[in-house]
Amino acid sequence: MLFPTVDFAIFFVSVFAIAWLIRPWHLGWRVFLVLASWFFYAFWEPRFVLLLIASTGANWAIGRDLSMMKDENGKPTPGGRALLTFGVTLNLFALGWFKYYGFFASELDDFFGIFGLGNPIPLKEITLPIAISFFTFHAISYLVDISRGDIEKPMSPLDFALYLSFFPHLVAGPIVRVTEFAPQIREPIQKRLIDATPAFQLILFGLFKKVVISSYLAKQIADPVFASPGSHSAQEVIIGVYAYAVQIFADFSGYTDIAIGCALLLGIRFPQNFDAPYRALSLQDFWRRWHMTLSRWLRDYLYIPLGGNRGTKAFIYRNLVLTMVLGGLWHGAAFTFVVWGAIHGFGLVIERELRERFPGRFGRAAPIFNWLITFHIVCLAWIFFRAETFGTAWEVLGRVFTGWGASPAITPLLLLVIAGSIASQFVPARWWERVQFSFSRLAPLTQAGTLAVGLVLIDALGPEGVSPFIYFQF
Amino acid sequence: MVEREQENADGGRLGAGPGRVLWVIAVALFIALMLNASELEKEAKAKPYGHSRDIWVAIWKPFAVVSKTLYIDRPRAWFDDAIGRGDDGSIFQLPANSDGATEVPGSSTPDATTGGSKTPGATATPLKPKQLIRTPTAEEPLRVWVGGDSISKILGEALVRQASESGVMAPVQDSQLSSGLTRPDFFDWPGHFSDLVKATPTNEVFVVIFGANDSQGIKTPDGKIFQPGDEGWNVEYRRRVAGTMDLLKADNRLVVWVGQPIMESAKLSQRMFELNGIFQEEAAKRPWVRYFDMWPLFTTAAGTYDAYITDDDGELKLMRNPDGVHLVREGGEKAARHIMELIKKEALIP
Repeated sequence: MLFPTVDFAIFFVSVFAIAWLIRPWHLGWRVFLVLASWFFYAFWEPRFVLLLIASTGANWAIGRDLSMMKDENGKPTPGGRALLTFGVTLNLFALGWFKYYGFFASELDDFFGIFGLGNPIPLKEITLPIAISFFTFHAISYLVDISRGDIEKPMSPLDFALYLSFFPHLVAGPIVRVTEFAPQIREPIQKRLIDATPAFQLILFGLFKKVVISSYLAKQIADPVFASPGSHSAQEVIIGVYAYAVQIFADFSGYTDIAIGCALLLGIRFPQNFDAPYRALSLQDFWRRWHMTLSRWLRDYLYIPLGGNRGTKAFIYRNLVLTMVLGGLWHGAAFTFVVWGAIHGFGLVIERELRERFPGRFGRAAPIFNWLITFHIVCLAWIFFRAETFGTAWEVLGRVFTGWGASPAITPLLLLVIAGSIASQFVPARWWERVQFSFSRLAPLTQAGTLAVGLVLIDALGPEGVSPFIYFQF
Repeated sequence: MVEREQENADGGRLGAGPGRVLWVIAVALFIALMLNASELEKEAKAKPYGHSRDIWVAIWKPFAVVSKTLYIDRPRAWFDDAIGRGDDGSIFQLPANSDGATEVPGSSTPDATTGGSKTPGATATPLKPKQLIRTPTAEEPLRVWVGGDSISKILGEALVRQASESGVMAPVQDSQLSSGLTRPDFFDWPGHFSDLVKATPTNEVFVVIFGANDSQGIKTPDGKIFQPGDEGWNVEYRRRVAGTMDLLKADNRLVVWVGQPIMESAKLSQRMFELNGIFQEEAAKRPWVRYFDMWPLFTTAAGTYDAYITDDDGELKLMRNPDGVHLVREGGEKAARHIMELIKKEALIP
């Protein structure tokens, strides 16, 4: 069930009404939200609900045992550490099986083929269950948090099921920490008030970004350029890459906005996931603004366990590159994603090195210069992220230097959409707050009318049928 | 009366009660529904003929009638006109009787389970003695159009890539997802072709792919609805295939009609096999059309479906999408290579 559909509108309004109606009955409210979330998930592929339930059961049981396997200082016992390793491995195995089997089997077969050993690893077509990357990360963070003692006591099976499967974040995040989610569902609420205005704004803006901006840029130039760079001029390829940078932001942040807005309407507050990433003045700044919940997940559950900032400089840089490369591989089973991660990893290392070598001088260049450099490194990495093969990525890059010529695909409207989307990230937050404040003071009927006109405009400007969100495949 | 949102002493937002929020959402959706009712009815009508479509049409119809009667649907229509998306809903009418409307004597429904297509191998119908299209040069490249349903998306991208690389072809792609020949009310391909050949009569090669979305009910000009498998369905579909082939006819133009590949679902495969039979038979009647059989390119040695298929270089590669219908990039590249061979052969490109 995609967010921008009539099906989801009917589903959400029903869930909203029932959930608030039964909110005083705390147990029933949680049971209802779990069942609604499973129903939402079953819309894609009913059999994978069993996988979600199995993951919920296994991780909850491991978490419960982990909480008991602590010494007097609250540290995990050797048995506890072994159980944590087992739990994390189990989650990674499930993710690996569904997401990476084909990739590794194919690569290994190619390797064995060099020695004339044929294809010893059978190539199987395995359907990737939607959302598995996200609920696996949620589950791993739960186990690690319990083991570290960040969570005092394990969640109840029902609360954990709701944490793992809550439908607004289930499919593509944001990746919510247990410490953020659990307190909001543990106790019955006293005041039944909804912060509706920001929720409405998020949903409306999210729909606009996904349905109008992302779809338009994909169809107009990004998809054709990456499908066939050779049949486009250098200017078209450059604009196509910029367009993809905006498209993926509009697509993913659009999804996140709708998810956060829906959760907010149901009384659950999610963490922010994007903070105007294309206004970043360094790669470090970019990663504080882009997919923020993944960044902190990678920091807390990968970078720090790898050693983080401790040890020699080489060791720290290794951790940084490794974290970004694995973050890249998390997005998809292809070496192009590895290169995407590596560009960011090495970019962060170079930034860090420059900062240390030229203390006080790095970053003091004109902001526009820093912005241009950062934005173009991010765009360079997007080329590898978007291209299906290295061949296409090199072709895109090569075309930039060789294919100057007529560019009929570049229209004033296209340039306006790209420039406007990037410029919108520089709009001060207080402007949006003022809009929200003004909206919140409107009479309910005026609010409803405003929302209705917004929805109709989005439908009119969008294409027939909406393609799935890009991050669904991850 | 529904209250405004609550504020604290400083005028900051505290939020609104669930009842008020539900009221706003419900009224917003109702107003949007009334403004958009005609579009919703149109989208419902474009669904495959069957119970689900009937239910959705029945739901939206009363709203659409009220909306239209009270002129509530006008703002949306004006807006659509203003941005150039206005649609009067008219559908291009193909000739009632084309050559294709009559059954070919002796033709019978082919069987996907009996070992592949009528024409073994990825081959085209035999070449006619006369060269249909000119031999292009880098200065005067061959203008190639590729498009059709969602199968044409990946295949078309690969063909555009390969045709561009040839240096003597100027390709364009025009794929419409979820489209086909059964539902002109969703996307009117004959009407689109009619406009296209008038607007750009210089296209010299048309590579068209239909069928993947056509395994659904079809409505005849006299309003009868037939389901796949009905004899009436075959007659009407054949008429549309024949009419579309005729629409594309022009001097010095080649139409490459690409058949559908084998599908993971046995039922869908059988349907596609039957459609391929219609395409092949109608193409054989028209000298300007070549039928390209994609089926054997994507079957195993045993003639069955597999996502992993041996490529022309002998390597086993993932060629099909997990949905069991569409191609992935490697599959598109393979099919495009063979179609390129066919075009080059017709244009006498070395």
